[in-house]
Amino acid sequence: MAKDVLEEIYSSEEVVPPLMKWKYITVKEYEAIYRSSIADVALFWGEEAKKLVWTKPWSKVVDGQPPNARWFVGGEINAYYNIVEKHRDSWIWGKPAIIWENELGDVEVATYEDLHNLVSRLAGALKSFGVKAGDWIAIYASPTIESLAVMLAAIKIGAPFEAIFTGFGFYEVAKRIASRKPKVFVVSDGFYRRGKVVDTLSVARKALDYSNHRCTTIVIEKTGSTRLRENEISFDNVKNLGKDSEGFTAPSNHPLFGLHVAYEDDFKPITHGVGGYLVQTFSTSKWIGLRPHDTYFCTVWPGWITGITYVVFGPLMIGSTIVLYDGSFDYPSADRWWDIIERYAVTLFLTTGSALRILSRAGNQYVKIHNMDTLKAVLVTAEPLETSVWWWTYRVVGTGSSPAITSIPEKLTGRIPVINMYIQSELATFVTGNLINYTFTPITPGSVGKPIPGFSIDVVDDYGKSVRDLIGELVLRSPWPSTPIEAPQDFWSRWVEGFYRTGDYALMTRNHTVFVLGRKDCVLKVSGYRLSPGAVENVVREVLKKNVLVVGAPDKTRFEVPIVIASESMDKEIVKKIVREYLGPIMEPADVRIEIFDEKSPRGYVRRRFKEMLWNIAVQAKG
Amino acid sequence: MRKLKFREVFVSRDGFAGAKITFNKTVFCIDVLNTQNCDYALYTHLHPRHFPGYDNVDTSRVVSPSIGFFRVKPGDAISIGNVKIITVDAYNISETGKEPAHPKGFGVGYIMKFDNAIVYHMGDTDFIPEILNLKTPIHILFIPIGCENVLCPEEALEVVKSLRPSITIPIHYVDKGFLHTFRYIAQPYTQVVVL
Repeated sequence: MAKDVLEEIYSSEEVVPPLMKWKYITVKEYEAIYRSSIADVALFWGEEAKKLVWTKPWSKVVDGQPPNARWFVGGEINAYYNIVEKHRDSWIWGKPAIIWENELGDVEVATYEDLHNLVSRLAGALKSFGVKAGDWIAIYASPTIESLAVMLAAIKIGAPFEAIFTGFGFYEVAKRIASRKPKVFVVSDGFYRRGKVVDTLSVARKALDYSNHRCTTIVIEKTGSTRLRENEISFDNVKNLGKDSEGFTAPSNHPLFGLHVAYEDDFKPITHGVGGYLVQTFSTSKWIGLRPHDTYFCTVWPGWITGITYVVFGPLMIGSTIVLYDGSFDYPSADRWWDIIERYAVTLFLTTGSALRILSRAGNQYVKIHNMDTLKAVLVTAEPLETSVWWWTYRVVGTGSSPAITSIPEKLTGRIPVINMYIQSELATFVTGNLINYTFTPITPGSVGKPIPGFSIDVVDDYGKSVRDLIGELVLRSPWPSTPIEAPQDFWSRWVEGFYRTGDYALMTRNHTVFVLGRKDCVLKVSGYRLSPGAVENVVREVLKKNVLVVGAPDKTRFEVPIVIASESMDKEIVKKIVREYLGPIMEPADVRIEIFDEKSPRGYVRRRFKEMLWNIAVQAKG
Repeated sequence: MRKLKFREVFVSRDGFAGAKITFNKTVFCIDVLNTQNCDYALYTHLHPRHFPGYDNVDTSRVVSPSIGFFRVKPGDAISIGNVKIITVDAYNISETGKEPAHPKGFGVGYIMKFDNAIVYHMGDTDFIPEILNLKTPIHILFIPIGCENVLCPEEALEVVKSLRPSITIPIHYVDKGFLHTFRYIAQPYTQVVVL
């Protein structure tokens, strides 16, 4: 399968976008920077860490052997100060921190000062509910100023949070509640999608009932007034319960936030610690191009690592303005995102490969009616990006209407960089990619660029030997500052012979350009979302009492789609309905197929055989 | 029509140079032609694209330099409920000696102070010295950028650099080229929002 993906994404071209004509560096220059960074990662990240404000300096940058290495040992840091409060005495304080727009076109703006005032009141309110440092907060709400403020309020008082993607159904939400046991659960009553209200409150209530967990629920009312139940309190009433003026100073390894990450048999919790995570996030946010006077639009929601790192933390640490769009990309028409970029003069746009694939098929006319000359880069995350989609984005989205440097708009020469990058929940930030504000080498379409300084990236064969121009597995040879402080056995067992296996197929060229080719295991990549096949199997087993397998089949739009393999006849529509209801629409199987499989064989082994079979069928069908 | 909420006020555009500002359910309209839903109608001057004609306004609720219950001149400050309205200069500078379209004293701009938000509608003006002397912080700026007897994008940029508003909403333009130029050069100094 990796070979088939490689055919779609491999290219040996090198492109210097006109806007980077005088900013790019040569491969030789890149190598010098990169090699020096990984020669001593502790030294490198220690220097980066000095760019944050530490309440107490660390005694040792890194201590212990991976995967149990701990970073900035002995250091103490006030996370909230480093994210928001440090801007207080600068011009950033009065500028918009967040511009929120929903599908109906309602717009709300909060400056850094406004955001701070709201966060302080929410922090006071959380304390009034008995939340202490170390207690978990769970958030199941679409991206709004309120939901981001809750996350920041949790950070302010030292309470780790888990933001749950609103595309998940009650069963997945319940799983996260049961695992984190939050003291406070924050939900929105609903949000608009393609003109209809999605009722998140009902899902949240069902999840709470199912998990049998009791806690205070704060309801952000966005779609109308709701009759609240016992233990539920309106966000508007919560805002005035108290005010917290002091941010929590935490030891470097204090939990900051967590996510449930997809492994083959289920979603499992990982937690990132405050010190290492903030260092990695601040540095990479600067390097990817964020500056205080940028207006930044990221279409990935908090609930996924890109949305957490590059919406909640990174842009605020830099002092940029975030555009939060709470709606569908194609409502009322396929130009909604382009319209947003035009209306808010967005300078940096981050989205997924799947989204660009869909938008490229919608047609150039949706792009052409908008002037997006303020854009300086399009960043792409989450999955392999075919060269055809890269070129479409570069030429059609990225050329703009006015010539700049050597661009020629009418010839669609391209103007701004389109940069695909590699990230994983366990890694916390991007670890490869062309960095606008650091190591920008010519772009190779289809690739995820070169390793970012400080991350010792390699591609190895099954024996752990480095390979170039051959397909292998992407690994990290050194620990990284935000190595999770809590993770399941699946994560620890990926550390073999001192390096971390990401689980992704990749090819690295001799000049360090990396092509990521999809999962080596059977974890699914659907529209950029990393999903667990086991989660679907578990729910079918629990509800329908049937033993099924779930594997990913290649899909032209979503990269992969889940397929349910059953050894006996099942009603497809019932399976789909149950998965949609329990796990959420993003997990809905594309098909249910009847195939006999040996239920006694190891599940992982059988999944792999079926995955290979489905990919082979797709390749043969392509001819 | 798209509405923007900033602290306790909602703002929207209405027509060529018009703005609607809602505060505590009271609607203040500046240079809005159809005032049906307006509680108070403020006019910067009485040119056709800004003023609907004498027959179409209830003068008891009009603020303007030349007609209505509240007749104002630059430097005046009036209060309507909890809202303080300060009137400022808005005029063209004649470079040829010819009488400009908006001579000094003919029109005004309005600075409206709400509980926690300050909105400035500039009226039809060039970049005049009085703007440099404004001491009040501006949160939302309605700025004319169309270059036709008002600011051109480059001049509008100078205003933005001088006032540093949190949000800037361009008005008074026909050709979108002016909008694109203004947006491109002004964005580092303010957040441009096209409503």
